[in-house]
Amino acid sequence: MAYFLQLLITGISIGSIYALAALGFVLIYKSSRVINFAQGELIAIGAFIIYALTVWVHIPIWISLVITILISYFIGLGIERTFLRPMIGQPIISVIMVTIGLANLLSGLVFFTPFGTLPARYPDFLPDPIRFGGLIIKWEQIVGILITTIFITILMWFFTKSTLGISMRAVADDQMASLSVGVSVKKVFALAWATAAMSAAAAGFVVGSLFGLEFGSLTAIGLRVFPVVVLGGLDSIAGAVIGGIIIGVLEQLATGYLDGIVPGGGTGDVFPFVVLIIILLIKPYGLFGTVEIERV
Amino acid sequence: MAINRWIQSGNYRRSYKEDQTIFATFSEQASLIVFLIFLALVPHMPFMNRQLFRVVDLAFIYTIAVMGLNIVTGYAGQINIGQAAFMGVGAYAAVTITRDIATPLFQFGKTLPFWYIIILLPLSGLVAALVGAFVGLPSYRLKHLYLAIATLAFQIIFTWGVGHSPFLNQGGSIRIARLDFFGTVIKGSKTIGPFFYYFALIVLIIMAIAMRNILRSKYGRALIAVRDNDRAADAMGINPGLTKVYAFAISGFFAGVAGAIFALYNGSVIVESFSLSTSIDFLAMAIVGGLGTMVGSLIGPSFMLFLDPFVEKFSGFAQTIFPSTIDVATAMRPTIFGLIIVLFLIYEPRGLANWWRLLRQYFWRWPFKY
Amino acid sequence: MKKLYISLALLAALALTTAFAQKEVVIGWSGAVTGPTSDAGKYVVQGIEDYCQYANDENLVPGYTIKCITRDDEYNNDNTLRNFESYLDEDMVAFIGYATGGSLQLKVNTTEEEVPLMGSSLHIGLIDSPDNEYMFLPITSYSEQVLSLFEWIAENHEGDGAPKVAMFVHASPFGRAPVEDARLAAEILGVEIVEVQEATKGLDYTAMLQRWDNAGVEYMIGQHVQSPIATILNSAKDLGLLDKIQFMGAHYTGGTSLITLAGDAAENFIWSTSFYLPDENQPGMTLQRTIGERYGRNQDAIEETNYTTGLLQASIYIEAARLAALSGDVTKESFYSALLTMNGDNEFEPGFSVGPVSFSEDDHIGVDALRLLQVQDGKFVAITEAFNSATFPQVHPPR
Repeated sequence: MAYFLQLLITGISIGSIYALAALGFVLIYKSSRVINFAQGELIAIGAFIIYALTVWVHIPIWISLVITILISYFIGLGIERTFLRPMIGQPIISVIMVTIGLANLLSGLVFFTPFGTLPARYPDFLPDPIRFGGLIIKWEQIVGILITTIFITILMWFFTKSTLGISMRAVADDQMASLSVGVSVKKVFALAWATAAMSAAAAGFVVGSLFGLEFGSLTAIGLRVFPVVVLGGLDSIAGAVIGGIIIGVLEQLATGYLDGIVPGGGTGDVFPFVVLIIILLIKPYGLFGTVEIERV
Repeated sequence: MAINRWIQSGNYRRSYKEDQTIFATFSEQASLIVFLIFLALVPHMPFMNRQLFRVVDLAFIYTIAVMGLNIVTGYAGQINIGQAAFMGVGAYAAVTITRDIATPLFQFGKTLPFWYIIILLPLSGLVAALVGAFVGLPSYRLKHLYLAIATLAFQIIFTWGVGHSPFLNQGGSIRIARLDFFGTVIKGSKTIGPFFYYFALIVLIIMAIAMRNILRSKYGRALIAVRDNDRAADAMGINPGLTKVYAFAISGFFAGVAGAIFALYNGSVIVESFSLSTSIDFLAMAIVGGLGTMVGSLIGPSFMLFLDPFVEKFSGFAQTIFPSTIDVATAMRPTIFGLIIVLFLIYEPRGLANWWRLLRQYFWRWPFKY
Repeated sequence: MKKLYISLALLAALALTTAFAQKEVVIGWSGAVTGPTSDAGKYVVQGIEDYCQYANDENLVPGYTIKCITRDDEYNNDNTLRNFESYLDEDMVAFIGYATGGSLQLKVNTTEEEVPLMGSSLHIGLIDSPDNEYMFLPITSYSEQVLSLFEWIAENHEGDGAPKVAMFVHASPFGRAPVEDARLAAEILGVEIVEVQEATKGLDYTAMLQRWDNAGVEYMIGQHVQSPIATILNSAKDLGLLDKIQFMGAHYTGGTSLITLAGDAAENFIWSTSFYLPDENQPGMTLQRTIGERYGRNQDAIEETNYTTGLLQASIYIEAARLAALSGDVTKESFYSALLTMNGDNEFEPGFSVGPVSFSEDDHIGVDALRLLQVQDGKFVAITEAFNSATFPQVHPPR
């Protein structure tokens, strides 16, 4: 039982990383229908900036987290302005392929810094793990779950109360209609990318403090986002969070129970994608996604 | 008045029958023939060394896979992030059919006869086509871009699955015998290079003709109709789901044939050749060449493959500028390729094919400006 | 008239220089200077380039210049094959490979082109038939390294019942190489393999470690690279498993960067390899320092086992070239037969490894001996003399 609970706790903490990563993804999809293949690179860049600020500039890690989230806001805006704005009006498929190119470009740029090959860790900034009854809970896991919760609460508030948030929802609902009532769609797109970069940076922080900074593993999360969002529904924020946690837990359970049975193991890497295919076949719009109804 | 089809300067086709012709002008037809003769002569040029043969041969093989990708992505409008995996299916099909069925059945010795290869290529293509159709199945229920995610999942499951199948040597290399071309055994890089140059080129031409004909048939127009407006297509009696499944199957067939040639060319198959990054390279080739154009899928792969050695040289030069702690060479390749994809999409979404079109138009009217 | 004299003199000078010009021996290397695994590859290539230059400066092969062409392949097999063929255009006599996948794929090419291949990959399948005539391993294979660890377990196991081992391998031919031999050897030695876990890019190993703990695993043998092993060690430390599970690994799991990455979690880790370590007082290591300093390498490179790997690979081929030059011209054929005579009196001892290098018709493994080392107080210390795995020939006779 302790084993199962431990898997569950690890799963939820990893799931909260996925949820954070998926949050940004969903925001971009919701507002502009673009699938973002560069989410993993955004996570990595956020994590690296925090490292640079903490270790090289000697800023306390919490402050560098806040600074990095602010920097990421501008990175997001910059990316949207440079690469996505010129694509407005082009077919969605081209825009998506721009994000594939962007992923390549960003990872190339990372290699211009020492981080491409540098396996690094954040300095220890949290106390030793809590242990009780055979269970071990790391503070990093708790922090990860907390950050996810804070982010989601802020976003929920933003979408229900602020004018900008409401206009984002309006754009997600109907671009044409919101244009005609004077909502700036461009501004909304930019904001979506900025928020995505911010939540990616937060995710990067959690991954970095839990598992260390290795570029390959950080970008791999960008791929893991896909099963999450398909399960939750591509355009649902609640779906991203719940999907993230479900996939995180399933992955741990697969590693915990299936790997002992399947020769060779490694099922945790592939299980989420098998789930993805099954969902696509039986419930294509995910748990909370909007089912498209077409009227001609 | 009949238009002189040698020197006409625009599209003067007046009937549907004329519009269906493959070539608009005789000069186009003639220049293609001249170009093919040139291609046939290239292996005899003094500058052709082993390295160049490898680049050109690979370009031909990849072109076949990219043509398939172009059908699904360029014409049917579905992003496919698993084309390398489909190619892998073809390669593994070729190897296992040879090892487990054909060799015991026909008692092949150390070499494979040529007639068998003629059968093997379409067979491997068919296997990949079946897998392609299966992966495309969700398109019955889904629209838009969910399929991109399904192909990504397929790519990852393929790599994992091969790695866990003892039957496929867990992704380690599986040997396939060299072939015997009417008495000459094709082995050693001296013969392999030129032989596969012609072999891949001929297969490429056959596949290109097939693609051209598929695309100007009712079915090809259905693909474009579904891409441009699936609701309208549905109203006109085209089943969008079925059309997409077909597109995936055809795309898989092209990839499978390419995979089988790739296996024969290398003499062995290893799973690392069919990774996610190869799939993304294929997408880049299709984009740079020009999505939704025939010429694009022919130019794109060659452009990207010939670019690679230049990037290598350039990063060697750039390394002298940067401090040695920075690994410029590792950085340069993804940066340049990413930039190429992004810049092409922003500034030339119709790809190199459009440059080719503009160049041709210039000569149509030459020496007049317009 | 004057012009004619000058041109004649020029011609004569030209003829002289060509006549006395050193003949070349071309050795090709293709590996990952960039891309995946480049943290190892970039030191291997430095070792090869430096030893070549050293050989030319010291005139190790009289009458010949050694030309080592090194080219990056970004760990991509297509590029490896392209480089291999471009070296054939330059009349390469021998090739140094890198990646397991690329080397496996080149087996057929080496036979067809009759060019020997030796490289950084120590996959035993490389020198198994078919197409193994031209394939060589510089040091003991992964299989033998892993088996030596099994033997250590069988010998040193305390407690009742069969020792329980879990294997952690890379999800690729590289990782899977020793698995089959390990299963056979475990049966002979009375060791139980609880499970073989494959992983490429896992994030979190706590689930895996706890599963092993529940299954009573006492030993872990890794066939992977350093960074995931370091992550495992760190997780094991958090879970308090370092006392319960003895962690061990084959050649590419160990080295100084494992200690850097894992910190004090690396303590007691056992490593199996054939190389001496740069801080040991051995003639080969002194030579490594000399060469490294002479050609301006930084301290990181000089203290890297992968740098030693490059030096050893180049030195073996250059020794073969020297042997070939003794009895005539160095050609592809004479080079290959010289390589095969590198035994008995011709045994080669460059001092980089714990045993001499020897090759023959039946022996395609250079250094046949290995040692086990353990991390003690943040440093790898040898815990055995150089030895051979006794079980290895039983489970994997030469094929």
